[in-house]
Amino acid sequence: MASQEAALLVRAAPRASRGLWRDALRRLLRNGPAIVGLVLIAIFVVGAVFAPVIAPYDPAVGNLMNSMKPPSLAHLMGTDLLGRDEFSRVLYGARISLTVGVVAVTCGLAFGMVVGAVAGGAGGVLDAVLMRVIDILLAVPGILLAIAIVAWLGHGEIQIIVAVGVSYAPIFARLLRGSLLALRETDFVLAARSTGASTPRILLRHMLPNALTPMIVQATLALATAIIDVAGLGFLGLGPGDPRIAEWGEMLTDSSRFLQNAPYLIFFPGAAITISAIGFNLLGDGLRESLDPRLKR
Amino acid sequence: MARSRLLALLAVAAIGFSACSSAATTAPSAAAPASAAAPASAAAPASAAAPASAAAGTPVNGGTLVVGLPGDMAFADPSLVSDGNSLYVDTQVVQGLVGLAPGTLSDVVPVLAASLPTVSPDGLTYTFTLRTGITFQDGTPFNAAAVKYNYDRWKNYPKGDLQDNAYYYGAVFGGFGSASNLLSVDAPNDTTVVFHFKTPQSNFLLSQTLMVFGIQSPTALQKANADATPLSGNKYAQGQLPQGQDMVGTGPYVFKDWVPKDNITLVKNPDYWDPATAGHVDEIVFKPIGDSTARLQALQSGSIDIAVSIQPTDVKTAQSSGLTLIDRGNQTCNMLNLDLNQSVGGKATIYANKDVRLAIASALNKQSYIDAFFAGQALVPTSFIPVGTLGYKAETLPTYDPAKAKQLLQQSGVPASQLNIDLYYPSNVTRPYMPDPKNEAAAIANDLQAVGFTVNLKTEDWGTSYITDATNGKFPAYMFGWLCDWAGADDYLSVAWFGYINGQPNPQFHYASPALNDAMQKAIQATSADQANQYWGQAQDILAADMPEVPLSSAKTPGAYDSKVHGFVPQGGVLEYLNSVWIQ
Amino acid sequence: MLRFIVRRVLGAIPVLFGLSVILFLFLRLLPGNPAVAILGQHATPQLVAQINASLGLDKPLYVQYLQYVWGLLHGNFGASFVDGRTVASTFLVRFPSTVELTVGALIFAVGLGIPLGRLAARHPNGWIDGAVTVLSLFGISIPIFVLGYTLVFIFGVELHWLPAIGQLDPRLNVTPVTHFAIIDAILSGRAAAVEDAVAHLILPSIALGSIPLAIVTRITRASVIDVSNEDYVRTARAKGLTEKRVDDRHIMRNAWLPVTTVIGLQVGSLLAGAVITETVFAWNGVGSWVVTAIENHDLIVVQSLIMIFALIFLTVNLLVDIGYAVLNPRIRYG
Repeated sequence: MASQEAALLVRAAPRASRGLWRDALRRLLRNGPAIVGLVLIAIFVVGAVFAPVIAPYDPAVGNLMNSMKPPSLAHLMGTDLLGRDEFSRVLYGARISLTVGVVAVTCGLAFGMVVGAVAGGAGGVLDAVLMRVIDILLAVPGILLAIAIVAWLGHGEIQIIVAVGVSYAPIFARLLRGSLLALRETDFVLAARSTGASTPRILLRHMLPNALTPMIVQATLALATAIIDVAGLGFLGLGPGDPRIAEWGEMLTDSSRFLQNAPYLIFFPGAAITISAIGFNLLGDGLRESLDPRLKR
Repeated sequence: MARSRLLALLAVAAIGFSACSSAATTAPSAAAPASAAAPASAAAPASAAAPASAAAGTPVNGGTLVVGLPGDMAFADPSLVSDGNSLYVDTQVVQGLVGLAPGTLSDVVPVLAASLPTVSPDGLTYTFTLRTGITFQDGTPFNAAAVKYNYDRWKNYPKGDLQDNAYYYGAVFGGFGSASNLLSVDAPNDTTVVFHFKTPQSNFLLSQTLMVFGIQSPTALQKANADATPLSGNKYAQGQLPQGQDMVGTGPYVFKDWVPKDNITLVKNPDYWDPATAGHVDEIVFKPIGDSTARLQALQSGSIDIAVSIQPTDVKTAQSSGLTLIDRGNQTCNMLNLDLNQSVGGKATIYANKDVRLAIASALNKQSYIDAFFAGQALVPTSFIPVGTLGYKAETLPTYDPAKAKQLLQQSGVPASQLNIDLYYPSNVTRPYMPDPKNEAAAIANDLQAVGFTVNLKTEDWGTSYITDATNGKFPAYMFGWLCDWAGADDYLSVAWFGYINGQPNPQFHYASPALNDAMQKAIQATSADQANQYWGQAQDILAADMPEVPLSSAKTPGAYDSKVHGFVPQGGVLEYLNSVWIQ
Repeated sequence: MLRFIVRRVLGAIPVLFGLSVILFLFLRLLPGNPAVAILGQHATPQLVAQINASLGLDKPLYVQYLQYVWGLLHGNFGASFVDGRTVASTFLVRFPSTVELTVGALIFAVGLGIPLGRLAARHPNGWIDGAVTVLSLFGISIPIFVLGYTLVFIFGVELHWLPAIGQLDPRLNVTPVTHFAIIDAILSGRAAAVEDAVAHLILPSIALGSIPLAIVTRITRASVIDVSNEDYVRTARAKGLTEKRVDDRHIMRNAWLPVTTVIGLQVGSLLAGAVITETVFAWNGVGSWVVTAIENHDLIVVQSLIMIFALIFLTVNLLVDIGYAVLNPRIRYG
């Protein structure tokens, strides 16, 4: 999937302190694009949380007599093939799409961190073996990995989460290991080691917190691509099982064949995906810049 | 996405022609007077929607016709295929003893035979007299020995690659070698062929209209060692031999070459035997395009001239952009059903209760599905088989009536707690009878919820597990359909659905009806068509009363073509002769 | 340098071997069955069992694996379960299309991305920078199939400027020799054919290249800004070198490094993107092949293709690393 490059942009951050985080936050709040990103995401989160209040119709039930009506006052974004209100579905879709994206990335992050930490912390043979496995996974295009997983586990939201999560894990593992290797030779780790601290302790207390910042940035950027990857899975017929569930990728895929007779059915979920992806990208860039003061603008 | 051959599979052997009178000069078989017979089905009126251009103007010869198919062909040897894409190509190149009259799905007429066969009173011997003066595309003569060679070849296919792929021979004759119901084929002289059977087989003639039974040149087959296995090394089957040495038949077009998944090229047969049905265009290129949106856009932008099938929901778009719609009229050869399995995992389901089955039949607004998912391009079923099918009998099936459905549910005595049901639909597939299974399942669920059910929608991947789980009886209620192999009642009712398997009801339905089984057996072994039709009618009466499945629709499977295409004759079931087509 | 290459190549062997074992087991554990793909609606349990036996799928796993490896060692990738063709023969027909598509996308991405990135970096946070950033974000955020369908609709259906699908108009009767449409067109010696092949390549390249374009643009911008702040660039400027000379000799030469790395890494995601692009444009490439094969449970094909993808990925990244050494003499490999 498309976010491997970001790993290269993210540098191992210098040692952390409370001051650094506060500085970072201050820089983030002064970063115009990042604020725009935050606001975009916030809009969707609010829409998702309050969907039952805002949505004018039931997103799952439609009337076939009311199929494919263009946007109007009654239906702000028109109706889909089953006569369901598109606006309500975009709102409810935010719940699924954002949740799937966040959970998938979190899974990938967690899995990647465990592997990366073990590899980067332990070094030696274990490191070599784990990294070869990661190489294997990286060598297989992520979307194929995801297709195979859905084929194996069947259709459903959880399967999609696992599929996308697994396809992101190697990137995180690689990234964390790289940061840990860099940190191993830093003064404060050498200092801790000379005081006789145990390896796990050094890893947990000193190295991991410092290696975390590039991971957070990478995760934010991955959220953007995760939402798009979920749409891609839908295009390949691997979306969630119940068509009554509103999910942006599935909505977009379903309506891509109506490009000519109902373009609004592509525009609205497409715009939702694009805008939220832009939001996460802007926030990710902002985070990177504020966490890494060396990257001056 | 480029769906597999499985996904793109077209109407397998749906060999009908639309009821278009202008077709009279198009099929090679049209010269035979037998075609004057009225269509078997009274309910198949002439299609008023047949394009005017089919009859207008004087044909111009020459040019290249590019035809978009939903998928690639499977093998270049017609006897080894069972998919609609291959058969669509094969139909232009090879011919059988018999074919179908224009305007019917099931009216058999002679093609390479000079007339229909004489049948012995016991129904066990069929004697054909052949046309004379026909040569194969490699210049060798067509005669009785060639016919015998082909039938013997298929019958004696060894186990493995050849039997695995020659599905239709096994299905029609009940197996290969000594298991085959076809005892022997004799060629007493150059123009006479005699078929001997173990038991009467009422579907014999109709099934032989399938182009898997097209006669190929024995010389070409032998020279190319066409029976070599594995098929990966068989150049004949893979279509990799030079022009004139591969797929050598007697048809109006000659197989030229095949770049798998990219294109199949045919050229006009200069020595074709029947000037009246010779081709017009010099070259036909088949282009497999799996994605239906891509196929429509290819047609709109001129990359292809004909799209054999388009999504029903694209019909309006196609018409508004100046394309001509291929309307295949009432000659459909497919059915979509909501199957209701009366027992899953050894436990009776609520569908074992007849009132529940009838309630569901009344709860579904079939016309609304046809309007939304087929853009109107489908028929509400009037029996368990489509109207043009041999043996069809009109039945009065329940119509949309939610109040009646609620009342039947109440009458059934099934407690509300058991009305929480799982409904399965296939994913990763569109079929001609099922253009949008996912959304149609949602609509069915809505209708069922409206009368008191709570529906959980579930899906499995069509090729991975849906087909096997459905046929092994793991689903309680599910969408399933059938593309006819041949347009006979036996193909739907016995082969596909209700034939007993090893003496037991099909686990797909767990519907035990000795009366139905008896009627079907009698129909299959009938020695006359009238007798067969009578038993098939009985079978349909029983089904209409019991409703073991709810017929949802018979799709018309629309296609479209560019304004420069003329003389195209739409035919039922998505299989057309392109010899009448010309471009200008 | 040579030692470095040898070490990297040797290092790839265990990766590929491990991949072959994992893939083999994983694919055999997947539910589903190639027989069902072959039989479709006719998949009765008896026929399925019969076909499985013919395909050798009823043998123990280790026997199947050993047979597969034995074939590989003899240069035999096996044959498709579904269409009976050998993987090698189909690969030779379909791989050129994917190469053409990928190269087209890379040309689009690099050719447009680097100038755009440099333009944006010239005045960071200026309006040009902002516009380029938004553009590249759109590039990343629009799913390929939406972009593809839209491009075809505008330029193919509405404007009739460019063809919608395929690689060559079949009416031109170009004989496939190499299966690279452009090379075959050149071999045919007709200008119209070459023009047609190039025209067919444009829209798919844009659709597939949009994500790499965005990424190349962003990386170029970031590394140019980065390098511009380095001491040696300031020194160069202080020495009074012209801005163009500073740009070419000092900034770009160093900014190339991360850009090359990213382009190398893009090959993986380009192959993934090709899966969808080839579908939208009905291209006969390996991307659409692998999806079909996965759907059909054509295990031998999936296995071989993923191995080939991995090999390509590893090779390209090795080339990138070698490229490093050429571009940056400071890097020495032991």
